Amino acid sequence: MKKIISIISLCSLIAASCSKMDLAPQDAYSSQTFFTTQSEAMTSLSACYALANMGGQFEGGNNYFLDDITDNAYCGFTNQLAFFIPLGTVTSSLTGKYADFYRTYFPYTGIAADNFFLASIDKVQMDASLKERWKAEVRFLRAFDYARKYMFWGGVPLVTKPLDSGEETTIPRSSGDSIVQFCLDELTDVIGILPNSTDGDDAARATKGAALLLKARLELFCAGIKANGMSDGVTEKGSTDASAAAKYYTAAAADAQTIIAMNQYRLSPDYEGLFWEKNQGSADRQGEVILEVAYSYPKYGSDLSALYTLNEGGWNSESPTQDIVDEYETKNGKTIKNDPTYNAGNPYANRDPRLSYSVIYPGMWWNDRYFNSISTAGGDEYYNSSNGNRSKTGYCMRKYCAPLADLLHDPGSDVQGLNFIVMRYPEVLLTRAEALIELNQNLGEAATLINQVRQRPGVNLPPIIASDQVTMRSQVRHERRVELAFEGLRWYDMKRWKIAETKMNGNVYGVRPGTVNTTTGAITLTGNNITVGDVRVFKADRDYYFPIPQVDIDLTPIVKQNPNW
Amino acid sequence: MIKQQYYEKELMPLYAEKHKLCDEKISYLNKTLECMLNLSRIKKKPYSNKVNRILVDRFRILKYSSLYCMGILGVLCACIYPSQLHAQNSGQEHVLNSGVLVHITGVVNDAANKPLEDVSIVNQRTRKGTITDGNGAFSLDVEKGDVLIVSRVGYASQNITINDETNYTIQLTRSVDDKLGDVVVVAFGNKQKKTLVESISVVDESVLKNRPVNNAISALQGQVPGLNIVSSSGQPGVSPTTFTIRGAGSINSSTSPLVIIDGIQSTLSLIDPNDIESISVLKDASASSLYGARAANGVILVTTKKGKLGKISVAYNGYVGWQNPTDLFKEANAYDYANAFNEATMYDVLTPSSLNFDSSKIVFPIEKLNGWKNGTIGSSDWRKTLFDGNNGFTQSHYINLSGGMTHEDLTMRNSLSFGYLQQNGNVVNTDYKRYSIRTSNQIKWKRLETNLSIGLISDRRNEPSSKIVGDFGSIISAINRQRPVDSIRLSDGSWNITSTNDTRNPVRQATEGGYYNPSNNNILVNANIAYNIWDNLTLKYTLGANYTFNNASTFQNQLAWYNGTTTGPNTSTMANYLDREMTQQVLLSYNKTIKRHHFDAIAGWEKIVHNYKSTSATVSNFVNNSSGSLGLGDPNNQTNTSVYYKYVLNGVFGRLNYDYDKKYLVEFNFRRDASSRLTPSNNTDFFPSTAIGWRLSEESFWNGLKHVLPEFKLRASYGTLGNQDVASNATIVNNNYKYYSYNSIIAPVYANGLGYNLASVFDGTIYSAYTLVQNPNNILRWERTTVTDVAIDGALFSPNLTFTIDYFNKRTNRLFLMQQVSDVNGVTPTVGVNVTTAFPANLGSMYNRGLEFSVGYSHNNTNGFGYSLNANYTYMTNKITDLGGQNVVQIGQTKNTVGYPVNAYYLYVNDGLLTKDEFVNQKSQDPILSGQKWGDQRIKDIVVDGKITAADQVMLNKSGAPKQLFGLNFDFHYKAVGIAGMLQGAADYYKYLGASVGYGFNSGYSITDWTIQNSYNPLINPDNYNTKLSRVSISNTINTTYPSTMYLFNSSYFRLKNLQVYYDLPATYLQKIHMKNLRIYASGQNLFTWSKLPKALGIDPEVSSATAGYPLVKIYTVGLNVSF
Repeated sequence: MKKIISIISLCSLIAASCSKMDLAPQDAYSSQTFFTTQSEAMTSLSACYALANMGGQFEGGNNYFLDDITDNAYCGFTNQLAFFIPLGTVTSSLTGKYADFYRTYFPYTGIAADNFFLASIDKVQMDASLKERWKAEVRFLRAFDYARKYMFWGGVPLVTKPLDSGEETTIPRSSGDSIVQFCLDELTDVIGILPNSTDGDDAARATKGAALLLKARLELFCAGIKANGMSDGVTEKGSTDASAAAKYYTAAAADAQTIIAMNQYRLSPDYEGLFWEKNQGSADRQGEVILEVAYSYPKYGSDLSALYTLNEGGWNSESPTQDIVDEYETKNGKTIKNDPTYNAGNPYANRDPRLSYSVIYPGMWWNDRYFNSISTAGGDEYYNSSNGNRSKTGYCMRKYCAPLADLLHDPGSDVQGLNFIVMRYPEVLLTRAEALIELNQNLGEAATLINQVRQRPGVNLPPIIASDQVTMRSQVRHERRVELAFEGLRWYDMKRWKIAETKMNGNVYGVRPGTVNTTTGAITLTGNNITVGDVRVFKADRDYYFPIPQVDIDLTPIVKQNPNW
Repeated sequence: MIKQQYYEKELMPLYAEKHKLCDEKISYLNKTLECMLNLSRIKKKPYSNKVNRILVDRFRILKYSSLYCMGILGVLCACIYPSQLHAQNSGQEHVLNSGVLVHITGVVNDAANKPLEDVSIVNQRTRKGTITDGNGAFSLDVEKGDVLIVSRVGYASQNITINDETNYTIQLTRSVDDKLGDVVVVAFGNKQKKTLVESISVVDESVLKNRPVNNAISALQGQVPGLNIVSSSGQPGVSPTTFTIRGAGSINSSTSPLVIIDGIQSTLSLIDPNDIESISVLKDASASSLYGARAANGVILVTTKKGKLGKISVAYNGYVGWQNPTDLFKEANAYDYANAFNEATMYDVLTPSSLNFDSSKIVFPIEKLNGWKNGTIGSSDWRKTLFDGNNGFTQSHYINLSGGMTHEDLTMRNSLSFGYLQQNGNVVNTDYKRYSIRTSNQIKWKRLETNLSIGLISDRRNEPSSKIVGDFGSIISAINRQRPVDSIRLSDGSWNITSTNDTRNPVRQATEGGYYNPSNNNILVNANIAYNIWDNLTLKYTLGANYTFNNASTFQNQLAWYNGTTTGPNTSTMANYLDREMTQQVLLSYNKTIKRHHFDAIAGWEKIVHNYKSTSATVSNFVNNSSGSLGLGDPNNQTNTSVYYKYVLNGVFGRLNYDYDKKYLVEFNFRRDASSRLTPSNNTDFFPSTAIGWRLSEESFWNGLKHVLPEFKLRASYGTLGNQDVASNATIVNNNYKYYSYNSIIAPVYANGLGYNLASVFDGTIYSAYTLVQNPNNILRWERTTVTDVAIDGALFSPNLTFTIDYFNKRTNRLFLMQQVSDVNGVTPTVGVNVTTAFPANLGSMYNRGLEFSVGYSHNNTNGFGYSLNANYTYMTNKITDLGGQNVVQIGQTKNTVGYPVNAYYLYVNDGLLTKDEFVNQKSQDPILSGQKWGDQRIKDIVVDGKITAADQVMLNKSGAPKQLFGLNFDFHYKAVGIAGMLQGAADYYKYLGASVGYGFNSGYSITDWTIQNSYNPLINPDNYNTKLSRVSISNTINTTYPSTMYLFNSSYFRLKNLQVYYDLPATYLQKIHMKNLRIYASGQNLFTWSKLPKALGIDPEVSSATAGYPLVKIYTVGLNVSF
């Protein structure tokens, strides 16, 4: 009988001894088991890039759609935040909307991934210089995220290490200046580490050029803020500070010059093809692209249906306005108001070629038809048809949307492999030009820089001639708007130039009604430009700053809301 | 279990006392062989000598062993036995030879002359004894003048003095305590009902066998006060899903009770109800606290049938029957539909400046209307067609072989059963089959006892699936959107494409669209070994395993349609999972009686290891629909997933019972559980409970009341239980939160708007993106439920009329809610639109309070008439008392708010209908919504600001969970014929019947006749604004956008759940044909229903989705139960 007792006791003991209560998941990695090898570190680096939200996907960055809250474009969908922002009806509590810039760019998801990477990478045994390079890339991404947060919100909570749950509630907003200083310091550091280029078919990794341009972009922005005496949304009242502005303009000019002097970048002869997948990897295009977010068909493709025209299966989430159409000069290098050859009855003829590269307008030959949004003959694409996915301005996006014949993949497919360009060389040229103009120095050089952009093959506009600062300021601003239209930079420009209060109040206009000849494409316009949607309202004392999502204020009362929200 | 403990306590000491073994020099094996060869000869001989008896007995051991040898333990014991016989080879025969031995035989019967088994026969002088077998028979060697004590639990003991006779017939009568003397299965043991201080309700076999139900959950419905079971579906193979004891105690975690089958955690759907001996429902803390962190929702203990002593007895239970839906949701016929549609079309275009109906707007021309009216054009009844697709035949067969023997120190019992259930649904391609095998083997030898029980269940359900519509539920739901004016098939026989293109003819989808076949294979094993160490101290080790292998195949066909279009592509999904739980228990139990002091104590330790693994693969684009084998599909079109998780629960527990003279009763319980699901530094919790009882009826001062209240007991208990199912109901919680909350989790980030995991592409290569998605959650604890229970147990006038009244207050603290995290933290598994980062935390509290009554009475006249009645009633309320300041989002028409029940309705208030006058003469402050006409519902402007906004919704103290439950079992019999049945009901609960009942044609739905008749009708009766519903509309979305109290329906019901007419063959005939019993019966389920829902709607009050679900079914069966 003792045997049996022993058996029972033994069983019990065996069972009791092996009861590990500290378990690690199998469907995910836990921190104990992750981040020891270079390939693991690579997945984390990949996450830093993916969560930086630099891409252009409808819900994966929204960068294209930023122009919807500017005078460049209009969004007519009430399920998208971009509908409400220009109307001034948005609140900090509004949630559940697509293309929600507040909830896309405020969350610290990317910064948390960056901080996690930087805190963990030293556990990995790998080539030391490669490790330093990767660290620099992540620091670049973190600076990119903070710079963007600063440009939207002003000062934000500065988090530079991984946070435990709840730790975030103790961190108040830093001043705008300290966020800027953090970014500039980080960028200065990484500029020395990052390579001039990464070998390959895309420019999807951070390079010295990208870091320099980000730095210049931020400096140019800060210069505008200082020059206009705007607050940073947190602590400073904001007052005009010409010397600080000059300091930032000088730095921006210098950084741009450094990129130019690298002699690595040039302008592509094919403006239109820059935004087509079939040209990706070509030397001409890659010479111009400084940073892009790459996609891969079909497994990780880019979804363009939000941009495409209705008949091509798209839904026109971003419809160009009459205002941007009118901004394009005539072929003669003059504004439409100043060019007597401009014919209001045939407004799309003889214009800056970049108009037809960027905007689909009535009468344009588009995928085997003359596009018609101005009469009922256009069917569902008529601006006033009952189809909710039509363009409500009558103009459609051409940039990014290659004609079907130029697509590499099945046009019916939800995705293509188009990369989204985050930074390209003309911004460098125009940044230096603008900085010089604002500093009122080297205006001749500034004119040359602008002319490089205006005169690339395929655009070939007449050059501008160096003149006074005021004239050249409007010229560089015009050039920047047109060259970089729908690339997500306009909102920042309107803020630093402090022009939104004049540009974003009032009606949005679209096409003039009329008819399109189905065989020649000739248009006959009859009415006035249509007004689109409700009157836009921009409150200058509020809307230059995005509101911090109310849920975050509620959860962390130490974080104060921006003024008047 | 009852009997086991009885043996342990009563008989083991007797066996242990002396060992009477003889003839052990003969080789065991030789003898065995010999006796096998001589079997027939020996069997015919009377027990002329002991050797033969032993041989026969030993042969029976072998026979049983070979019959039932299904597990290692059985074999082990068969091996131990002979070797022990050799070891014990000693001259003990003198014991037998010392006196003048008389071999006596006898039979013990009850008052009705039915044989009683398990009666203890003990010789007062020698303390030796035996127990009766299944025929009540016993035999014993005694000396003349010895006194035999004949006793059995629940019966009055008798002393028999041995005289010259060698054959005795003894009759035992029920003790005065009667039912209160019954033994009740409790956590880790048994107790006498009269000394029970916990709140436990018992459902025994007699109740179960009166209802030929096909699953054990349905068998419990209406039987137990406080137990709420709602049959959500009548589909074959689908068990009720709503299943709570004393109300739902959680919002985000599981609210289902813990189910223990023979000591091992399992599932009620995975047992053949025929195998159940009894079910104990443990409701308060003191009853449940030995299950600690799993017990917050109550515990259901299922005891299966064990072998009975005696020759092999065979029992067969079987029935065949047919089932039909209780009711089908009644849509209008084509004429009514078209007529109402025409009216609604005209109505929808009215404006204040254009008040006249424009008959040019009608959609269905008069000729067609007339055609439908006089029957020249057919009207389609889609639902009836769908539910006429299969014959609803059902059959069940169950055979149980049971037997056992006892000889001196050795007792063996075995039971083996086979069960088969087949149900055909009423919808084409729906059926269910279940096979079960269960065996239980017990061997007792001296102080040692081993038990092995194994249950095998294999089931398979078939149901349609469709590529374009979705799963079976969606197919039924799509019926709502078919119009009676559309034919199901065209005149050439081909399937019609209906006006709702996305559903493409749901009748065809059910018939030809594809299939979904989930199949479960479950093994439930309990192996235990117990040893009586000393006195009444027993050590028991239990090893339990519960393995479920599930596999499900789905194939959705590509279908070609008459117009040349196809729907598809065809897709095959094969999914399987293995869910295994291993349990180990060590239990030390002890009891002691010192004069009038009774002590009973147990201490135990339990460890549970749970593993879950699943894989699923989907491939599309097969060449044809004939096979879904994954290799045949398009390799470029496939997805694979797998899930794995594991958790460990480690508990120690103990119980101390003390009573003084069975009058003053005290009990203490505790359990301390540690779980791998919580942070290791803080993963334990202590769950104590206590209970006291006082049997006033045992006091001398009660003597004057004894004739009124022969039994009267006050009891109270208080204690705490846990709910370890961390946030299992919270949809946004993933397995990393549920099982590994304290880990830092690194995983891909899911982009909600894009619908996939984020990644990066560098030089054409896609790099998966992994980062920190979950911070360690070191503060998460279990939900903790504190239960107070105060009760009276008693008997009124007669021991046969018993009653119990319970008051309970079940309070859940540390309620799991999702704690939102500031975006500044940045750690989240999901990004994008509609994402709120949150993690489970213990933030809120709620309570369930109520009263439970149960009354039972049974009476048997000498003239052969007898009856029994058991009734129960429960009233309970549920309220959320704290949500930790979280704004819990609205789910459909319900919301969780402090001060209201869980998932209480949150609706706009209907304020009658708008009149024509109000419509024509609108004032600016009238809160008339745009698009509203007269006859539309007036939404009450609660905040009185002249407009209807979200702020005008109100919380109602009404929910979908009933506040009142009733149940009544009855059984009347006269001699051999009887009628038995069960009434069951629930009250104070509500259904929101919006779409397809109230909304009319809105969102493409069909319409019921009831809706047409009860809606405001501007043509026929324009001045009647007192209709139940607002006008019927096609374009009006107000009813959907502003869900109002108009569509909230009281679902209270009372139904005849079961009615059985039976005939029991009388004992005299039974003996002639060597049978123990024979019953034939005819039975019907869900025969009559009284419901507050309008009868004309055809909605079963129990079904969860009133219009889209599979309705409950009426089942008519004829059955036969025999045993011999």
